[in-house]
Amino acid sequence: VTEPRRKRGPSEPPIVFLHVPKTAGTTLHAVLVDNVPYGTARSGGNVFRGRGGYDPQRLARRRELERGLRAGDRVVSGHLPYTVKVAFPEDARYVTMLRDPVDRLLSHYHAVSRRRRLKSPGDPLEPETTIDDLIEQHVLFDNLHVRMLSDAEDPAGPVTEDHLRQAKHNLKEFTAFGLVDRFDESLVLLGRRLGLRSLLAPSQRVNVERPGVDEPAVVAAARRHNELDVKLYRYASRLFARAVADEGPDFALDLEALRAARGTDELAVDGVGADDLRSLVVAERARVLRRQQALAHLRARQGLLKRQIGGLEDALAIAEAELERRRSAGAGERGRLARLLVPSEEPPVA
Amino acid sequence: MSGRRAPGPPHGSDEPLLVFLHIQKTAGMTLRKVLLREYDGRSAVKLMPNHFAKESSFEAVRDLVAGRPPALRVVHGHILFWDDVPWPEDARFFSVLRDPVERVISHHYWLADRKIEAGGRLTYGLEEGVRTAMIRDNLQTRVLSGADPAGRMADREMLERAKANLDRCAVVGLVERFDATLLLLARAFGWSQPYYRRENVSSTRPRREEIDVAAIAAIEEHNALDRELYEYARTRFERDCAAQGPFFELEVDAFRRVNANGAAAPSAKADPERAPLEERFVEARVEALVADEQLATAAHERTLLRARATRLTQALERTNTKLEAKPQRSARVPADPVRRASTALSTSSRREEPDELLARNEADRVHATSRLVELTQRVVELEEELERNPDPAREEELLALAERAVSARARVERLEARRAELLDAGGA
Repeated sequence: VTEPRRKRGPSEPPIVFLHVPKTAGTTLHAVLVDNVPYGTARSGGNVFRGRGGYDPQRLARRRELERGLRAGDRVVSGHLPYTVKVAFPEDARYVTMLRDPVDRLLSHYHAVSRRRRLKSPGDPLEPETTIDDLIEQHVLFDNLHVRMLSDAEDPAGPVTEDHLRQAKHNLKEFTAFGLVDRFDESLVLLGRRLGLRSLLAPSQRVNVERPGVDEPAVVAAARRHNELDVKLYRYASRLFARAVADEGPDFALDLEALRAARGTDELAVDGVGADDLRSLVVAERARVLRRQQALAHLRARQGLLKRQIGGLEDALAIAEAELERRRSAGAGERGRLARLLVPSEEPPVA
Repeated sequence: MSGRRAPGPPHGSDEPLLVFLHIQKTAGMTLRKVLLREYDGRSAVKLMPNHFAKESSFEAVRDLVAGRPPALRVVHGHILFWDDVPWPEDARFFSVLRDPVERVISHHYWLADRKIEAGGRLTYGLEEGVRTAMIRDNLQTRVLSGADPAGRMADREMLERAKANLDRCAVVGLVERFDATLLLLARAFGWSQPYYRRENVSSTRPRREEIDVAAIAAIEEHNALDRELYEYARTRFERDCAAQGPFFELEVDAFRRVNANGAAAPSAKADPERAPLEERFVEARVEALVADEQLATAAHERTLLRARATRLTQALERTNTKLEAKPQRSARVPADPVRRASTALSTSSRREEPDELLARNEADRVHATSRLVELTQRVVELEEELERNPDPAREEELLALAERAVSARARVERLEARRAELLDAGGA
């Protein structure tokens, strides 16, 4: 039985994942990594600073032609605005995740606060450092979805209805996008649109310290700073619902299979006791997902081992060359000694 | 429904002996390949002398079964269901039957092929062969009844014994339903993936429709008992299939598709006649079976890669020992073999090599390589650790490590490129 060829050839266009901060993007990136050969998925940089804020130089670097993609890259993910597209091939497949903008900003706010607290434990974020302040300081951004998904040359500049229109237009052009609130459906949709086989990468980076309920004033501030984003999100939700409907009845089977595969209900995956074909199809697909996940892990490990072997081969070659060099140096030394002790018949060659 | 099983435990000698009564021209050699794969080779799967060619077949089987070697798992061949072989109490018999007309046609043309191979020609045709007992009458009844009387036709009493023996079989297969037969066998005996290729097929054989009506009549006439036996086996077979659950035929179809393609990506065309859900089920099962194969292959490859990494580490260790045996300058000896190589180089090459840059590059390269090896090793270890004890909190650590390994690799590559540059410059 021969090793099957993977469905996607190497010529398949790369996937560029525009990761809007705090939209479960790390999890999605992990899923994408599982679906391409080892070493061909890359975190393509971040135009935002670790402690918040945006770095125009980083964006400029990102946007330089030829810098976006290295040979063999199949997935590039990063906190990148859509305007990086000048650095990628024409046929690159863009994907992104959106989240309820108020939720997103609150999550971002808490993440930044937590990071600041961790950096300087004695100096917790001052109570009066509000979302407004942080936006004022360009640590956080209002309408970040619109900023990142529109054609705005300067993502930190002012955003207008024009940018909202651009973002809506761009969203339609994307190969697929997901919604955090409908994460499982998003995975299935992205999976179907991008031809992904492994969807079970574990959820990443949940901000555990986030308070359960925010002060009404904080929520109100978050809402105030997202007027355009709220409109974009409403539009995206409608687009998403339509996209799911377009996938037909098979979509529901995939969704159930994903949940069964992730779940602990082994019966659902074994199909034991199921006497209707539908449950069996779901169980079978869930099993396929689990197997694909195991396969992704095995392949990643193989990739690591191959690299390790490459490193060892290099080191061995260098060490052997050195040994050989010393041997011949030693032989030369012995040869000189021998010539001194036993004078040759031939006149020495200069 | 228990469609698939994990690959069974290694087949030890305390497991029952399988006895495969291989009737001629019933895909027996194809099955032998499957058996050899499932039971690790020839010492476990014993092909017995052909009863129809050698008189000693009975004795060989009797003696082998009586003094059963521990490795023996399967006895098969053109043997009969002999009464007076001391079959073990827990022996599990199976056989594959075939439509008698089809079987006799196949048998005849197979004989003709052998004759041509030997440089001759069969001097008689199909009908004559049947009428002159060149091919035995009711061969399937003979095999399964355990009696092969010479010079006369099989009788009803033999048919009854053959039926009773079929009832003793754990599995009764049909050539006409070979894929389903293999699935039944796999489930009965815990085989993993009984993929097969057709073996030993007659090449010159015409189709049944092309055969002279008189010859067909002669076959039916001489195989009336086999016809009855075949119908009996068919009833049994259908009953066994029905017992596998309502979707067995779909599972058989999935197996057939995967088997037909090797494990190639499922390219089987959707069957337009079939209800969408049934089609979905077959597709998903095909994907699952293919993934099973891929998993097995990938696991095997990983084992090979591990072994290679180990061999390389040992070779490097040996070379380092030699390098240290003739030190050019005493140096602290790091434990890591790659780092040792790098230390040995940085203490020697830099002095010896006239091109200082190249020497430094060499040392840097070994150092970077050492770092890469160390990182990848740690990643592999952590991955395995996490596989044993999943811990979402450490997944991030793993990601970070993997990222560092990637940049270490990039550094090695940069240094290699730099070295090539230096060498080019030196050569110019």
